[in-house]
Amino acid sequence: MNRLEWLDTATKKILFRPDRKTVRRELEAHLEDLLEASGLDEEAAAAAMGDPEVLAEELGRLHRPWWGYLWRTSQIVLAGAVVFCCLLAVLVEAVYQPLDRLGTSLHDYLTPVQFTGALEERDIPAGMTISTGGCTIRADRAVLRSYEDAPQALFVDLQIGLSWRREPLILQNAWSGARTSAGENPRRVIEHSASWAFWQRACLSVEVPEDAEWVELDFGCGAWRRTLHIDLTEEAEP
Amino acid sequence: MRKKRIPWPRWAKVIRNLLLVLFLGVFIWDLLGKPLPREAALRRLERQYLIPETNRSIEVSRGYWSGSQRIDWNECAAMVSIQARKAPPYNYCYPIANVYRLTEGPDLLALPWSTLLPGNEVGMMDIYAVYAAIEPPEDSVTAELTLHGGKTFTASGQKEGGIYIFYVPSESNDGQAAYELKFYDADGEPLDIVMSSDRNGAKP
Repeated sequence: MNRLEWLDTATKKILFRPDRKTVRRELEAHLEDLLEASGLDEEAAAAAMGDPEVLAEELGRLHRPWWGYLWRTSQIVLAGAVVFCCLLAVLVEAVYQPLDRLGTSLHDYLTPVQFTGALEERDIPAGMTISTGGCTIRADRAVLRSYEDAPQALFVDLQIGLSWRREPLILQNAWSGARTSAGENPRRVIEHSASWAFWQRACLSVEVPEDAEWVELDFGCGAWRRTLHIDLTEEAEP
Repeated sequence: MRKKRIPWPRWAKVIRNLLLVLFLGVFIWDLLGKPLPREAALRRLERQYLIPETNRSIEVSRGYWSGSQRIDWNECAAMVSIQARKAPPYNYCYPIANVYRLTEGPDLLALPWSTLLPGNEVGMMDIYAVYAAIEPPEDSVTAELTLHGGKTFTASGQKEGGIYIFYVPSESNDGQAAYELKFYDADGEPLDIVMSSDRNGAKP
């Protein structure tokens, strides 16, 4: 048996080709070392390396192909995913501009809401928190604003902690109602709402009669209904 | 001398590659606006609207819509949704849903999409607004809806899976009409009368 036949036979049971090539290279290097050191001819050196059939059995057992196949498959899937992702990112960006939206929503999230035209502003103690539907709604700041030509209104800045699903509340429905001590269903407006990652910021306003002592904001319905109670008789400490 | 880097074992490379694929998959899903199958998308809308999970559901099958209208409701709210047609920009599973607050007892919902009825004469385009009366009295056999718009129109309800559906010709439906909803038992005796003045569920 010459050198090439011996190498072919010894590595024939390694099924994963890259492994077979590596082992074959290693065996070939050993064989060449032996040829140089011993001065034997090719066939004698090959015979001195041992029975190739026995070695093939042993190597085949050692080099199971499954991890190799799995590795190669994962490489192909990853390459496909990268190509697909790049194409889709270009396409989606061109059509839906999600990166633009991402930037805009971060900008909206960070920009404070500007209000003008109020004659007088009075800060109300805030900080009350409710939890419902997996999110936490906190009244960060409450300000009572009076206008010359419009009714007084309470503005509440909300900080909403979203659940791990990162699903911002749709306040048009999630904010289910408002009451004041002077009556039900005052005029209410969502002034601002923006979300970023796990947080949502919103500013709500409710028309408040002059003699109102408190305002209640309802969120959710049924078992998920929770109420934020804001006392208007106190003034926040500066 | 530069140290030779120890190669990663093959199992680690496989896991690394699969994690990268997963990461890219999530990235793509996020880029596309997190599309979900209809059922899961409706559950997501419930969470975003802060509505506890709806436990009753019905598909309104009559009429020609691009997809079937579906009503999901619980004790406090109802959602009417339609599977958006697969055309840009809604080319994946985004149900569009209208939400209605419910009161105790029967409620009338104005479904947001008009329809043509089956059996419509060829060439005729009679468009109907659709109303649904949910939670009717258990013993009711028939129901009648009267709309007091520019002119008064009365429609008989068709029972579909425990609710009544009313088809109202578009010209009789001005969207803001006061209504009167009557339920009758098998003997024709009225069981319940619901007036728009004491309900806020329907938002035509």
